[in-house]
Amino acid sequence: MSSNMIMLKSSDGASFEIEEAAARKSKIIANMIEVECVDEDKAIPLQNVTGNILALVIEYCNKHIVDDDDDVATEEASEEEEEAKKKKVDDWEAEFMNSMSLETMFELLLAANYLNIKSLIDLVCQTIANNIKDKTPEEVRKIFSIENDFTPEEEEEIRKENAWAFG
Amino acid sequence: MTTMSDLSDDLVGEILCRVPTTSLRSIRSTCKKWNALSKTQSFAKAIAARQQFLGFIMMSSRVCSLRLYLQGIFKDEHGDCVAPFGSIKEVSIPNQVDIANIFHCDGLLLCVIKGKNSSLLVWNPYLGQTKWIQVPPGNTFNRLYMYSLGYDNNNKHKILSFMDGYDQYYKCEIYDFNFNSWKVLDVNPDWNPKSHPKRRSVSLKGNTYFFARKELHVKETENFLLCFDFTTESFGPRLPLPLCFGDRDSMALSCVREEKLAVLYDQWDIIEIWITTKIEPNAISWSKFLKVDKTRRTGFRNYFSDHIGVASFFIDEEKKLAVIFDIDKCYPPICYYDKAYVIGEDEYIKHVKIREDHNVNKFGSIPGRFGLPVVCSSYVPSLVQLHANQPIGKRESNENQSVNRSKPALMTKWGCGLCFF
Repeated sequence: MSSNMIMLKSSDGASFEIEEAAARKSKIIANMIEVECVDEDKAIPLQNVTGNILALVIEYCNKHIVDDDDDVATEEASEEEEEAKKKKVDDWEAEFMNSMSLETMFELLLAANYLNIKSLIDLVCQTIANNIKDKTPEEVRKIFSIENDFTPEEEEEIRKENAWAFG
Repeated sequence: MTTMSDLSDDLVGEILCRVPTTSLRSIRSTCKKWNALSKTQSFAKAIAARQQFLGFIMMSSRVCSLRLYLQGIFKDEHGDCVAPFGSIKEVSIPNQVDIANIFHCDGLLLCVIKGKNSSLLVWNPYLGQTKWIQVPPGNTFNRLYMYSLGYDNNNKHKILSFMDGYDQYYKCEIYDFNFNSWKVLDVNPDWNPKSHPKRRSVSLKGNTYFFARKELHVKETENFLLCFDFTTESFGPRLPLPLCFGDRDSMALSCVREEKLAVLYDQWDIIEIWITTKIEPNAISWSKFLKVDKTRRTGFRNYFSDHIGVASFFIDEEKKLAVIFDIDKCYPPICYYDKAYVIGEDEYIKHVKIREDHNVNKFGSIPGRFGLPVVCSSYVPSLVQLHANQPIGKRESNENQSVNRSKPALMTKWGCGLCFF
């Protein structure tokens, strides 16, 4: 297990030190490390991610690197232990997302997409999707500031066509 | 400020496909972009992967969609189911048209419309498309015909029409969506389809399966399963069933997540359900899924309504549950009501009354009832375009025996009502 540290630099100039193993959660950074274009003394510039968002990304990666370590250490863990561990991660993720505004979620999603962190994309998308579940179209438009570009007739047609799907 | 509009279409799709299918209407009504995104291949695939219990059922000549909350079923101290069970919503397609029977194949529904000049309606609920098809000339009595929807190795959809008349009289025709025409198939079977007059068949991986029987001697019959292979356009060999049963026992077929078949045996005091471990047009193997002793539970009727329709059912393999739909009768005055039984391990049985608004005729039975066929329990969206290859106006038929009788596809008006249980 490598404990190499690497430096990341946000678009607004903030520097963060992160364990290589955690940084490898990002496919983009992992690739950079593979092709050895990471200089130990220089920070990797991330032009599309601001400092406050990068801090969240790093918090997520650090948390999940610990979980991955656990996987290696307890290969023969019982089913209950596995379940308890999964619950712990789920609880942490729920807490992590709970305090976030919708705007932050969008920014975090863009950052996760740019850095190519699949599990974080999944988590943020699912959390945003939960905001849509069981809402009326009016409520959805209000939450996401979306303009209604349907005519009333078009909207009525769609409403009827999709009546089978409940909601 | 960062908003939804800053995200790429791919990312918006990633979010929307995680919303339950039951919120599809809201997604599509929000804006044009979301409506278009929800009809893409990747979106439909993501929804399919989530395996939700959303299905279709036929009630009183109408098609209904069915939503179930199986995850909410648990027992209280009396062993009873306490959580809400589900909801049923009537979706008449089109408005005011009575349905005689429905069949399902991979997200498409085939509805047999009632009436002497019967016609067929294929419906893709996900794309909101319908296609009317005239039945072959001479198919006038719905009761005699078994219809099935399927597709071949090249994903070309077809409809099978099979009539089992008397004195070894058979009529077998196949409709090809590409040619919009029927052609006669030359078959000479030595069996009869069972479960007359319901003509239930179940489509799985493009092919269709149904119960059939062969009379060996007087009062002795051999029962088996048969497959119609839509690629070779022929019936396969006899496939063995897991149990022998008598003519008075009822049985039903069901599809499990578009991957397996399940068969339900309803004997005098026992219900057994078996599922396939392997299923191909010419090979099958089974394993036992559930067995429930009815005599140990009160309120559980002996025999499902074989006289009205073999109970239809579906199973949740993971939760070891089966839900069986049935019609029950109470007096006086005579009243029929739809009922669902949830059965599980450890003799767990719970029944839920769905509704009781059947019109009874002077003979005390329900006119034109076919039971409650659940045609699909874990709905998977289909992106099959029913409007593709549709001629505008007439198209010449290339084959001698075929008749081009299809109408141009219609977008129909929809009506709906709600009932909860």
